[in-house]
Amino acid sequence: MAKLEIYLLGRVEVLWEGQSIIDQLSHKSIGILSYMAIKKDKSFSRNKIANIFWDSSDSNSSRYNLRYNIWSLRKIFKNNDEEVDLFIADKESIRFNDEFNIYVDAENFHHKIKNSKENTIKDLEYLKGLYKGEFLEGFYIKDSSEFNDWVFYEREKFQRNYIKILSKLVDHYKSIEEYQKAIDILENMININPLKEELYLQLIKIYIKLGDRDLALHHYKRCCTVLREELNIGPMEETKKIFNQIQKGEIPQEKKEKEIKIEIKVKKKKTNLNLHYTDENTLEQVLERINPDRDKKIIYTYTYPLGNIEYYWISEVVDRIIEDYPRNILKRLPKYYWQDLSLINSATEKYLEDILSSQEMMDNKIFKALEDLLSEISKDEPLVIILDYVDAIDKKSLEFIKYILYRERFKNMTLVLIGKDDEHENIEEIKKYFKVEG
Amino acid sequence: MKDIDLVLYNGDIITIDKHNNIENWVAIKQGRIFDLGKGDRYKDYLTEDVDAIDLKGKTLLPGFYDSHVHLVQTGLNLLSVDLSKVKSISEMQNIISEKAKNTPPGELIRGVGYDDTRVKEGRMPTRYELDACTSNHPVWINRVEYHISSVNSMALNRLNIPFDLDGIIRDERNLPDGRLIDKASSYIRGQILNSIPDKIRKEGVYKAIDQAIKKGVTSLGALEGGFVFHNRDAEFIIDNKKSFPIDVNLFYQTIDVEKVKAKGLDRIGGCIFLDGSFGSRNAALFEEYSDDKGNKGQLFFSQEELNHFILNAHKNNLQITVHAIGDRAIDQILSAYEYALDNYPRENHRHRIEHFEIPSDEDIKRAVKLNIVLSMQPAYEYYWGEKGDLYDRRLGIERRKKTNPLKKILDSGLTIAGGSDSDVTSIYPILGIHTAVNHPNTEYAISPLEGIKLFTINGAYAVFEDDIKGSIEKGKYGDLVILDKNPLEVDKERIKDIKVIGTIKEGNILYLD
Repeated sequence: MAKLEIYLLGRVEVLWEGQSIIDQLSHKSIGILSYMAIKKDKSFSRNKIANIFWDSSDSNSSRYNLRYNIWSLRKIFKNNDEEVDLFIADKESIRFNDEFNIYVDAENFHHKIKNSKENTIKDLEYLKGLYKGEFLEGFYIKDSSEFNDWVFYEREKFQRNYIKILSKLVDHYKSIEEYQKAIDILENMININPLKEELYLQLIKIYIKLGDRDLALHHYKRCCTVLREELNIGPMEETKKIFNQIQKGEIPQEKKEKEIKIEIKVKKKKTNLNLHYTDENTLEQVLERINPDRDKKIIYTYTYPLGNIEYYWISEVVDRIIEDYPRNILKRLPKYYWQDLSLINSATEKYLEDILSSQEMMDNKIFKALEDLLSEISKDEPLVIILDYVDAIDKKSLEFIKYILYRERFKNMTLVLIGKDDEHENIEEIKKYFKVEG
Repeated sequence: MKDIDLVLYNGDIITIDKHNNIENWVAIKQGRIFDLGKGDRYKDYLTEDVDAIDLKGKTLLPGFYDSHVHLVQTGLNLLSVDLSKVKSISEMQNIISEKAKNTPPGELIRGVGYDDTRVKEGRMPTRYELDACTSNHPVWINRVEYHISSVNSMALNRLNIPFDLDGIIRDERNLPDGRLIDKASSYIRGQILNSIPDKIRKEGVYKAIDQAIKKGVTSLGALEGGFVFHNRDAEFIIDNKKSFPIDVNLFYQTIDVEKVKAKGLDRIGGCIFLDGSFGSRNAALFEEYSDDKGNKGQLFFSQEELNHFILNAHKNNLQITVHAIGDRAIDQILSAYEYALDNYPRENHRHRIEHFEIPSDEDIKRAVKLNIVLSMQPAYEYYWGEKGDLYDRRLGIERRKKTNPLKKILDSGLTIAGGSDSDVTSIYPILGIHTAVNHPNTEYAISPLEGIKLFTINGAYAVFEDDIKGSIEKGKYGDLVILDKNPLEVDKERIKDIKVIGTIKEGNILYLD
């Protein structure tokens, strides 16, 4: 049976038989689907739904509107081969048909938490993975205050649960000395709430445990700067006390060997995305091989030894795309690409128009937006991106390369990495996880 | 004579050179003052292809410096809705509704200057009240001093607020009601300011600069970033500095010395708030506020923390400045400078203090010993200095007579750079000069020439530019302002009526009325 997938954690997405159909749905239809999906086994009063989404002062009109939207949804989800209707409805009520194959991420999230009192670490990691962003992020229906209030209510509930999950994971990873994992999660939590001093304190303590005095001091300074610039306050006594102890060398430094423990053991993966490594001299030969008919679009990007300017290469890729592709093509792409990419590259603002952009500096937003952008532009015309040279790439961009290699969302793209030093840590890092064509 | 760009003649040219010479004409070549003097020698330069302005007896001064401007926020506020005069929430709603009619859907509407103590409801509006104004625009209302704010539902929806933040006011259903205080307000402010695209900043800043040019300003100190403001403002100035028609000297308001160094800046600070303001009754005083018994204001830094920051910046060879209004904050920053300079003596550091509104005689002596530059805003006295005004109400009659003691400070040998603190007061050097000359406390009033120096050569000195700007001398930049009357000759009570009729930057005419 065809599957309907509704993703509410993060930007709303609706997949029908594996394909996105979000563009075919009206704003209110998405709202109705979302509202019902969160409790997909429940029967809803038609009047209530009509009143939530349309002006309740005219009940006839709101019921007509609801009926029209339900009819539209039924039409979209009609499967000619099967006589199964998406909704079971009568004059008073409406519910999803149990026989319909529906997956809802938020319901799955809720169900997992509810039915497992003592979640295992595997469960918690799974839940963490489900939470791609705020509940119905960026989704708003004007003139439907009850719906919008419901979104606030649900959003808070999911966010609080997510924070609890992250906190439990941090505690766990600290207890088994998997410090890098704890650090990654704490950074994620700081992205959500950068004003929470306790998170910086935990980071400082972890780096002390790792014996990394410099990073402990770095995060102390980072904490002080954020508190001063955002709230004009100094750190808590406890934070200051630890800082003074580090300064005076009163905190024993554990051996750095512990860092070895944090390395993730992974099996080397053959990625579907074509990945090549070469030097400047043999680039032409590589290009001959991968683009014999010269029918692929080539984007040539550079990095420079500028220190670690975060997202530098990613920003360079975005610049090249904006320069190389016609404006009318880019203008047609979903605005959230530009919205999320504007966090690192202001050139995208010309495609943003009046959107008030979300500014949550979460890597996954930026990564996802660029991944979607690359996927979209390589659909019709195969794409080769040349990175000259990988030795100088910034850490965030290196993470992005690993991200797309793991996710393998597109097959029409080839990545050619030019390097000077075969043993440079950057190419070593990629080779550690992925098979690279020489 | 070849290459002369511009000749101005037949005027009173107050050069502000060290002899206070008055000349009649000046010739500019390649952006710099090439020659100047009295008499007819300017005619040697009047060839066919030279632009010339007959001043017809008008007065020419060095282009004005405004040493203390929050340029980006001034610009953004010019694009915002002014709510400073509303008396009720319904009046505010009408103004926002009107603004919404002329604003493209989806574009942020920002209200500034709202004072909850002056509206009849005595509170900030809720999101439901703002939703009633428009459902097509995110709306953000700032209290007059930015520490409290309100947003409508659309803005709240888009901002991804962490719900466990302190300061989210909730309704009876425990949902956020749109009013935000403390950390929540700071967070939202940061998010919104960060989301404002640079094209909007650019629009606002150019508007502000255009106004500054019409007031004769050719250089200004832009104090940007940090608490209440946003670092993106500072980054915007760094990115666009070269394209502005006047000189904009950035003060990055951060305690992050490494960041400032990495950006190649040679100064740090600005409104790093050691204390608050008299308006909010949190400027730090040794004695309690006259209209708030028991309250002595607030210091936001510990002495130890401040010493650490000042020493670190000083050791890194940066010029430093911070905000200190009350005598307790002034004492604190002087102690920090003493600490740094005792440990690492340095000549010609030109460290500054912004505001310095109520220093004691002892503070002035300490500042002299440290050779501190004081960045002060004389126009405060115009708005707040008379009997019954803000200083009088907050500080009482005795302390009101001690505010902004300009003459006492200049007589002690210190340098004062004049500024506006825009947009606390508008960019308007003539008003600053007028107020300095007509100080409500007559014993602190300074001469018109000294007043002009505050906004010219002293401003240049305060940013290490006195060798290239701040006076009309050979080799210096051709930055000039033409006035319709001579401030050294008009009745001192009429100085504020003097009009700027021309502004020239490096020989280029930016404004000519």
